[in-house]
Amino acid sequence: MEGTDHILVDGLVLLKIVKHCKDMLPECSYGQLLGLDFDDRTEITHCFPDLPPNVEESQEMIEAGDNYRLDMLRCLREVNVDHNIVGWYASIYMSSFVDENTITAQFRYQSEVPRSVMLVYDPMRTSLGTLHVRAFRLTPVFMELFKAHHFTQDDLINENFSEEQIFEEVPIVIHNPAIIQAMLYSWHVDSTLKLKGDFTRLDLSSSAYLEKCVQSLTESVEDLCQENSAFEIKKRQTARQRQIVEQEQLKKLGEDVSEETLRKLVPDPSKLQVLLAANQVQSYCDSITKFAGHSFDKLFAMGSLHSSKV
Amino acid sequence: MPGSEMMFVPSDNAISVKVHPTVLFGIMDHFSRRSDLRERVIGAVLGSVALDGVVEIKNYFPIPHTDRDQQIDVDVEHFQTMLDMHRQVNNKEVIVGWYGTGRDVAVNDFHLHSFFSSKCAKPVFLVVDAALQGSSSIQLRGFVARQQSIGGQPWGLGFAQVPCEIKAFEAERVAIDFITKSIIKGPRRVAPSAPMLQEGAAIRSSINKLVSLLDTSLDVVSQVQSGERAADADLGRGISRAVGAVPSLSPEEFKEMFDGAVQDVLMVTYLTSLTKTQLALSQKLNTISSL
Repeated sequence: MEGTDHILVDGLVLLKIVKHCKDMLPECSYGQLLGLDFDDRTEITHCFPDLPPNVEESQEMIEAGDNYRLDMLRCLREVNVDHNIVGWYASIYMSSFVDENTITAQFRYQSEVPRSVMLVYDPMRTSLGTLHVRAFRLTPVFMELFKAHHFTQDDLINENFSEEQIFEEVPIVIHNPAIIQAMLYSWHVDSTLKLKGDFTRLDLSSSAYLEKCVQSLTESVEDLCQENSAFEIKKRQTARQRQIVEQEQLKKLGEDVSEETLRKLVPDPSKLQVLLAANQVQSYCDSITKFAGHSFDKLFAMGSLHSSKV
Repeated sequence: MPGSEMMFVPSDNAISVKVHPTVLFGIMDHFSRRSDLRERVIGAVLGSVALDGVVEIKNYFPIPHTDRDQQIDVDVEHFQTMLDMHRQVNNKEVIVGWYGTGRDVAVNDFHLHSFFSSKCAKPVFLVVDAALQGSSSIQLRGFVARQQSIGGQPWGLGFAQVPCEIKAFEAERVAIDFITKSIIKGPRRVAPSAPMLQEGAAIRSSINKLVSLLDTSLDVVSQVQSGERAADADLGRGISRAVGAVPSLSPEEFKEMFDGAVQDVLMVTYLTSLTKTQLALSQKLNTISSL
């Protein structure tokens, strides 16, 4: 099934996510997205926060979480809120959200509702003045690979798969019921909220944020190196194990073992971790480039103002 | 029944109410989802009460209820379940009152208010005019129950209005600003749905706003100079303070700072493109070699 071009998100959902993430700082927060899934578009009309995750994931905690979700859905249905789960949201730190848990969770959601998305909210970037919410979905290619757990090197070469193809970003379209539009317009005209956030965006002191970004980038590059060397070690181990198995078979059966039986007995190592680490590095690079672009905008605007003043 | 007549008296206590925009959005959303078009909707509001009597309303949840003639039925089980769930997520928020849509306080609201009085110490009743019956803007009023007395004798309970205002913390402000800028396409044109504002466009709109503010202040100053407008000392001081806040740098100092900043950003961009090239190279190398 083809993915939609965009998703419609209610303003209420954005505000609730912002509020929940702010309450839970500095921990990460998660929640469910509710809405409707039509043929040609997906609408997200409501959301609710999940129970705060515990360190120990015991069976009772998982059951408690499930019960909570069922109760919440039931209560919301009684007040006419759409009660279909069409995705989930998470707050992240410095755009680092690509890890195996996230991918597994998104895979589960997308298996049930093919167009479900994950909304990712970055409170740090938002404090710099721009609302940072993005929607992601796993690509169909990746879904197939994940289902079959085919992450060996040969599989990736066959599919011509690179780390950029794990996620696809879905553009967000904001939508509000008429009464809320009216309220927003009256606030805008009366300047009820004294939106000082307007000028926080023009702040030129970007160096602190850039420093943190570059730090995270170096950490993720180190991760990538570690994953790569771990993969190499696993490769050597598989080769050694295959040799041992071949020798044993030779002794037992006295004949050569085919390549395929070898492969079945000792499987190729999975490259999933390497892929994820590479994707992380890529996303850091992209976000730094974008941020640098905006910094240039601001710097040159200030430069031209100053030269005209002088 | 105590308080069967409505009496509005000026409040003499320090209670005031600050409402977060999330709650208002949610109340409007709840109102737009009601099943019977004539009905009003109610729900509970959560938040915190400060020591100086300021009630901050941060969260809400709707409660189904039926209103037939003189009978009001509140789904208590629903209320208790939702309250427990909200406490599990965030136990710092407590019930501080309830909300109802409509133009004014209705006759039966005392029943509901007494129900909520059993749940919290001094519930605040928020009246939101979501159907725009009263005026052309959305009215938000808060009430508390107050003991009325006539000539020293306690007479009954009445609803007293308390000052209500909208307060938002920084991230909420940014979010609302974004949502507003995305949907407002010009004077008197509000689009029902619009793509979310991108960062570049947001910076451009902030600069435009700054330019328009500067133009306005320039107009005011020239008007005062030419004598069209009476000089206002406070305004003058404010403008001179704003202008004085711009640091005056010699061209060499500014050029040094500017070059330094540009070089920092350029260096980081170069490093990231280097990293990306390395990544692409390693991808290609990996696809060539195989097990």
